[in-house]
Amino acid sequence: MMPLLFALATSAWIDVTDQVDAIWPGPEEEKWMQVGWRLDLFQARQEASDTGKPLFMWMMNGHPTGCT
Amino acid sequence: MFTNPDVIQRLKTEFIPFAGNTNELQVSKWESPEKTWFLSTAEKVHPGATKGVTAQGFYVVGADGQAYTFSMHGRQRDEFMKVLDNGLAKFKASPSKEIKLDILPVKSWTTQPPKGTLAVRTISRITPLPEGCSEKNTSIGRDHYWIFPNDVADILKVKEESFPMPANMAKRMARFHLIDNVRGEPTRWRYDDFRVLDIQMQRIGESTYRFEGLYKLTNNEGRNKSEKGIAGRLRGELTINRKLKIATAFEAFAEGYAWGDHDNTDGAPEGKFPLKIGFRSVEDEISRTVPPQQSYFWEEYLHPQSSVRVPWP
Repeated sequence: MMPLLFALATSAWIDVTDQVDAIWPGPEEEKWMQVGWRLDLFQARQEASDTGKPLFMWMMNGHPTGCT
Repeated sequence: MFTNPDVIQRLKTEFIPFAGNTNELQVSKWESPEKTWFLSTAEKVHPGATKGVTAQGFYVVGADGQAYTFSMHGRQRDEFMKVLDNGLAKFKASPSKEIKLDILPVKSWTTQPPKGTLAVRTISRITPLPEGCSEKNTSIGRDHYWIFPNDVADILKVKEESFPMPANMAKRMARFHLIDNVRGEPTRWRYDDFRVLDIQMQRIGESTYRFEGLYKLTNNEGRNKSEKGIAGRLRGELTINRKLKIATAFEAFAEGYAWGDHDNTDGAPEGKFPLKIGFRSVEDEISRTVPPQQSYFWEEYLHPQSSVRVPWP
């Protein structure tokens, strides 16, 4: 582990932020968030009733907004 | 399809869009008013939803429980628009009755983190994409990793400047988040799937730690009991609040390769393929609402060193 510890303490450290930025979703990939997904089913039901609109439900095995 | 401007506009203006998890609303072992309502509504247009068939898909329903349409398909814009048109037409022909939910129920089916838990979003990608592989591999894997106050307490117990990442924190991250979830949700690693897990931390400031290490996990739970695995190097930084004994920021990057798939994640590139996973703490509605996918197996998530295997219902 000594080489690892050496890297942790020296300028050999690579900027993790840059690496994470490189794979983080860009604006185009986050467009689906613009839909404004409701995450609480009963609050969504109440809102649908109050606004006179139908509910659109997107169901997935694994939460659509937080998982794959 | 949800990136199409026309689709976004219609969902925003003509519907109340809800995103839900079948693991919670269909197959959860925890009964809840939400699950009961969802199933009783969904089965009107998708009878299989209460007979063991996945309830995945798109529904147009009324607040009062009328169900107008269901489709498992609609990846293309025009196909999806037909689903919306069909649902809206039926809604207009038979509008929902008004409802009044006086007390909005607590989501008893949602795993609640201990107070002071830090939510970390994880993003995974296969990059560079191996030539000729399935389009499924261009997707993004998304999840959340929870860092508990107990993890911080374990760190604060250490007097040395350099030390191994506490086992619960390291093994929770590895078992549930060093995964190839690009094509769907994989099975979680078992407590004894570790071949290498060596993450060293170093305190570099009053409340900041850097960590770096190697990981390798394998098992024979791939398709047809073949081997699947993941291996690579992880590095990152953790900031804590020493007074409150909680984590306040976390960022990490795991870079390596994976191999194999299983029924839920089929279509992996042949052989070993490059997999990168980014971790970044976030504070938004989704991070507050959506728990880690594998926290469904809560006892395992809380105690990642335990051999307990929580069954799927």
